Amino acid sequence: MAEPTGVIYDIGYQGYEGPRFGRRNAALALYVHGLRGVFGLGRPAKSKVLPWLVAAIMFIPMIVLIAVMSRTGTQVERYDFYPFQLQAVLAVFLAAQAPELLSRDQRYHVLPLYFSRPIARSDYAFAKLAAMVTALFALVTVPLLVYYLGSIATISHSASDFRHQSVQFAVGVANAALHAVVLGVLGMAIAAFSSRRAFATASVIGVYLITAAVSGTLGALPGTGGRYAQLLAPFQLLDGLRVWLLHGKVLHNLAPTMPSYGVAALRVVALGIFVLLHRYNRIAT
Amino acid sequence: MQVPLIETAALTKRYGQVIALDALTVTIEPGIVGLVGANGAGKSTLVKVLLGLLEPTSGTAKVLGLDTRTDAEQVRSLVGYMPEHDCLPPDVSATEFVGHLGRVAGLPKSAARERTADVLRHVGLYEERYRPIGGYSTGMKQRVKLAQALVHDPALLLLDEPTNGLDPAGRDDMLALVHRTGTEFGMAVLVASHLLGELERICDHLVVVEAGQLRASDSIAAYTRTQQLLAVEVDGGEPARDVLRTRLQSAGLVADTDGRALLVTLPPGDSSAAVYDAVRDAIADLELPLVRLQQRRHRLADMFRDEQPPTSEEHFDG
Repeated sequence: MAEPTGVIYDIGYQGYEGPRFGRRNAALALYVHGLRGVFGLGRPAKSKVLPWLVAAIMFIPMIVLIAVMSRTGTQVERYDFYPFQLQAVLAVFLAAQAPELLSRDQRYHVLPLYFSRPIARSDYAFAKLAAMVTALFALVTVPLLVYYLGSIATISHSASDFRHQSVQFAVGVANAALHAVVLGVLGMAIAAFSSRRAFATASVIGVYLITAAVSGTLGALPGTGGRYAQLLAPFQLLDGLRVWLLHGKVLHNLAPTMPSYGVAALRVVALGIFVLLHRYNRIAT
Repeated sequence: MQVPLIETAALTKRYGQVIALDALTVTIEPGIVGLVGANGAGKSTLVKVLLGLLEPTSGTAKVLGLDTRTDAEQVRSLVGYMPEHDCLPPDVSATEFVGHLGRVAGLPKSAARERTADVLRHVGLYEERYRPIGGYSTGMKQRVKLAQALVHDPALLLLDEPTNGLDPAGRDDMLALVHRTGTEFGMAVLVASHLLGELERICDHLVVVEAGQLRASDSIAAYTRTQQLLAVEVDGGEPARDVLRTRLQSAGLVADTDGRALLVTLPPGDSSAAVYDAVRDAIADLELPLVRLQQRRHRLADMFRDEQPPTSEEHFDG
């Protein structure tokens, strides 16, 4: 393509006299832009491959289950167990797309353009975080919805069946929300510290692997220490939280006291948000 | 009285031991204002403090009467900023990116879309606006950078080295655009640059900073009026030059040396004709071979002579 020759057609400049919104509108724009970016919308095809591949994989178990249910007529799977089983897929999505939201703006020095506009640095951090949490939530919830509709169509024959399915679905949605918040905060807090995408991705994956290894090793110890070690790995923590919060039980008899899952999850979220905000208040532009 | 565009009082910014701005006090009136200084003089730091991107160590800065610390959000809604360095993500189109930043600046969705189309056309981006920015030339990227600063129709544009990395033709285009922004679009513009020659072409006021301090602040006209020069060059090397210099000085003309040339100060107005005559007569009397007799537009470049090696006149013309 030839370089534009610099000819500028003089059609006159129009000023803007219309309304100007403040921070909330700006944060909303960042959130929408971020959510589009996570799924590669408005980006080249290359950026769409991974998120949509992950989305497709998230659907596969649900499609299979519906097929099995229609054959056997019995329910095969509980709704809320699903994110735990697909944790590797969710982990890959988070590790790959959290840098897309945060590292990319650092890598290409876009932050000065944002921070010279009427938004606070915390608005930026929260908008990006909300985009990731929404994306994770949608990745889990949309296949769940398909499964719910499939279950109603195949094995629900009475009003009580329908009620049961609906309650189970609600539990599944609540569980999806827990996963989205805890994982999203964790992934974004880590990705915020690197302008290099590959490094940020490796860091997020590294945290999964290391916490899983540490948790597994310490978990083999006798006594309460070993039982508390479960809280170290994000997916173990989330699974314990799910069983405690949504079913009022303690997982595997290995777990520590029930509220400790809630306390640990709250700590992870609070620490993650603190770290994220701290990073963006300090980041040089 | 009109509210000053920019007003700083004892503005200081330190990075550890390094002082980037040293008690800078300056008042800038609306117009197209050049902020000139060598690299590291504190231009970018001043721009970032004005935007609230950097906290000053001490002192105050006001933009359009608003304090950059206490009214930061309001200041930023009135200002458009074009950074010195690359600031564009490669994987989105100019339309998507500029529209997005328009919304972040506070525009409603439809207005952001319309103004994006408008400003991209104004900066001279047409069909390519729908392609990812990563494939753009440096000139096109600079245009996108300017467009994103203009999209929300700011009252003040802060441009940091807008011609960075451009070839001569690209520089001319960018300078013409900046000039047009200041005149036709009715925006106040502050252009930071280390290239004096560029600033004097488009600005009507010049602020000179050096080592974080204010060195001069005046209108271009004032500089030009007081500092018209005549460069005289004769063959015969230094002896001939010095003979002529003595002769001119005895005739009451202020003569200074600049390399091989002599610089004679020209008084403003019609009386400069007498100086031309005196110089001509002196050369004729001494029977020196005249090589060059040229009026210099002004002596702005002299301000930098102690920091930078002498630059040829051609540099400032092109």
